[in-house]
Amino acid sequence: MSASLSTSIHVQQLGDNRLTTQLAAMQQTLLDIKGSYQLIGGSNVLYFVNQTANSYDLTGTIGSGQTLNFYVTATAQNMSTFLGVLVPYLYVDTSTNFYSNGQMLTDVVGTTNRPVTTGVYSNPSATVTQQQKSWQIQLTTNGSAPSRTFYIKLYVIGLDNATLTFGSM
Amino acid sequence: MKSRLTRLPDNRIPTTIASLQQQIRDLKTAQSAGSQAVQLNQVQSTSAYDIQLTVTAGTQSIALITYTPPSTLGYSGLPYLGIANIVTDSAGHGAGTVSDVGFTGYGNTYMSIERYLPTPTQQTWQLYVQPLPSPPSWIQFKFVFFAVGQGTFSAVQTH
Repeated sequence: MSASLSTSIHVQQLGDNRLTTQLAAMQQTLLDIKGSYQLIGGSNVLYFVNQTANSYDLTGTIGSGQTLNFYVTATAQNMSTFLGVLVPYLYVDTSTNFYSNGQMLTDVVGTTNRPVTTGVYSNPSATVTQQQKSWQIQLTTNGSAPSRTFYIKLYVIGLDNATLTFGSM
Repeated sequence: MKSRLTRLPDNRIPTTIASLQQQIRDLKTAQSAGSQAVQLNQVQSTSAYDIQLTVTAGTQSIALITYTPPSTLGYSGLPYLGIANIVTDSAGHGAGTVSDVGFTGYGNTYMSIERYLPTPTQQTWQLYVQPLPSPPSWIQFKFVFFAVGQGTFSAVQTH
């Protein structure tokens, strides 16, 4: 900008309204751009791993033949429409005993009678804004399983920093 | 002759330039929050399937799926993994509905996909196949990713 305006003689020699017309056109172009969506989608777009400072976020005991439901809602700090995915880590018996889906399947078909099965769904009962995304986590044990203590650490991988709220349903 | 430029009210041009600068600043802010305009790309191979898992009765099979974006910025190119197709040697085929975190019965097996926390340069999942009585001897999977940007992926049987 300073280069083009550096000589007053040059500016003075512009035709009537030339500079103001160009500035007005630039102004309108920027307004148009602001008013339309800026398409982004390159692989340089960063994502964030959102979590609380807690070692685990949900804990409790699930009894024989019981089903427990929890909700997790992520609220984006900046995005008007949040794009993100919930990655819950489940621990059973102790807060460090990671319970993988592989272990879950082994227990489901095994004879140990101690399966804790999990499901994650979009939260059907949540009233959320576009700035939010909400999920339902379901824990289930079979009828002959003993009580298990569980711990869940929540991670939400998304395109914005987000705050997490969660609790029982 | 005086040009109209010199006859403009005082501060007209500086005011207009200041307005332009403000709009550019606003635009930069808006871009970081332009989420409704995030484009997802479909990333998949040209192969009929990406991995053929060998299934042995009584033994769980595991595949490790790794997605790598081209960017080296770290934590970029967020992908979603889906199963485009499943084919077994005994149970026909169809569009995959293997659930994420939960499990799905399919072709005398239980299947489940587990997503893990990313490293700066990669995203990983494990696909578990637990055989039930009379399982197929193999299962082919074709994957499809919906990702921010492009990327490459691999799938290997680890167990």
